[in-house]
Amino acid sequence: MWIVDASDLVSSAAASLSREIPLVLSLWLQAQVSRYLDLTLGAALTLAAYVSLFMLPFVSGAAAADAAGIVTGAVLSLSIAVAATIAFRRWSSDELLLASFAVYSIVLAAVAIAAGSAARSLRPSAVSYDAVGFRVAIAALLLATLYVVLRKSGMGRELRAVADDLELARAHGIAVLRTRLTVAAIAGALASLSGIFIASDFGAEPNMAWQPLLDALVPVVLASGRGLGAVGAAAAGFAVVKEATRSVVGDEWQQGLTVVILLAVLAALASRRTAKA
Amino acid sequence: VIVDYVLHVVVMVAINATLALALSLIVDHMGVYSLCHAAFAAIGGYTTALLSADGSVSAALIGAGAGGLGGVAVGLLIRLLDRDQILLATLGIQLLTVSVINNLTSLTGGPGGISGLPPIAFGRGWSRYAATVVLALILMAISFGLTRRLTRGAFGRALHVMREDELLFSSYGGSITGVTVRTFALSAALAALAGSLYVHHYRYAGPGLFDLTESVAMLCIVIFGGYGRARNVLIAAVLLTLPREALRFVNLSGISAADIKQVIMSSLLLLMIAIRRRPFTRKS
Repeated sequence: MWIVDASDLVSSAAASLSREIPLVLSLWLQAQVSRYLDLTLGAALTLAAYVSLFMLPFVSGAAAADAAGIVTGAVLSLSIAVAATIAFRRWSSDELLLASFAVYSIVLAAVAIAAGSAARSLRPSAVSYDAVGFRVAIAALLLATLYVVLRKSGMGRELRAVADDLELARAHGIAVLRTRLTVAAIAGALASLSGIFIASDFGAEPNMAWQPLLDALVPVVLASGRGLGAVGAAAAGFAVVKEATRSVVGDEWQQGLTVVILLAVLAALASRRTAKA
Repeated sequence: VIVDYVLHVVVMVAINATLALALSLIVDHMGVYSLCHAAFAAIGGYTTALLSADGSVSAALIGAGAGGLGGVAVGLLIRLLDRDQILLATLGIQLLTVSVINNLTSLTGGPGGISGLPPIAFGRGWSRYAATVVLALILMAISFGLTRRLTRGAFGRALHVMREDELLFSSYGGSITGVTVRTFALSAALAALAGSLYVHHYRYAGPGLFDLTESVAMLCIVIFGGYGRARNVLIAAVLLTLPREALRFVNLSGISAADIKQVIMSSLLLLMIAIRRRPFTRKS
């Protein structure tokens, strides 16, 4: 019985992780380079899910509809990054976080006004991504690609330099603005991919990004200041904890439980920082 | 009917001003953004709704105590966090509170809330609105006087030094934990009192009264009021509450009023952050 439960747990955690790992990576990337938690990625996620669903009847295949969704999410994140980097460059990290929350709220209410608050129907099974193995493979591919790009490419070196010390990177002639905008577009595309996976499983609704955003914040905050491996491990660990507790507390308490874990993580990190000081 | 509506608007202005003055202690004088003031108001509102069978003021005072305890807990949690982590934590606390309200159905009535509450009782011969208006205005005046007095005295100076430089504040023997917890406790107790009045005014306590949009609206008022002057917060409360109340008359078929409110409030918040820059920087 325990083995059956354990395998169920692993498979549901894998399904959850495969849906949300692109969002976790996007949030982590943005936090590394822009130094604030960019909640507008939730807007990219929501918008991409709706665009891909609405485009399905008009394009030849699901891949084209999904590509349109991903491009929309990337363009949205890029536009916001242009505004944040150029117009609001003097804003502090909490002002940027607050502004990103405001933008996310505007987009989700606008989506609700334009498309209605009810959940949009699920994608036809022929064009859904319900095969967990496929999505886990995509998640693994994403992690591997990101690792190679960050460690082995010139762009990765620039990105790490900007993340480590902005002024030093600028003094060394690294194009900080270009790096930030590139990362924003990549992050928007990754968040959009999560949106398409989530819409494939549960349909699309205006508030669809809240729970994934909260879920993604936990590993990103937990692994703050650490590398890609740490954030991947934290995401995997949190997915297992979340799925294990879901059966105990029920779906309706999921958001509350995620917030409690997030608060506990914040408190633990603060205590550790104080102890070190 | 018009007199009733005018009185209702006066009550709403007074309640929002109280909430904003309470929040200004944290935003203006502590120098951090908080998104959980509607949660403190919810603690006060629901405590009052559960305890008050006859609309007596004592239930509201117990609600304020409960809110103050909530403020102590939040203050203890966030005392060591960075500014953006504080914002994240308070957002989480707001979401957690609404989640608890929605799911603890046996106690809170769930999404349907608790209805049929008595109007506030203030002695015989007082009409429902008159008692609420008087209490709301008294509460607003107390909040105004208290925040002004506190922030101009030794406590205010301690808050301002801590806001500018935590290390300097600690080196002078100041307790970051003590000041943070006291500020949050006072602010939360005032917000809880306002929440108690709010539920009695509507004769209903429901999650929609205390959702995230309400916290955003309070933050808009405080930022609109500039930083540091209680009088400006009062003026901002009047200027921003009137259009919010006018929104009740907007009727667009097929579009949820809550969505419109959310777009307006969030846009306003964005605008406020852009045009009302914080005049201080907090070092930690």
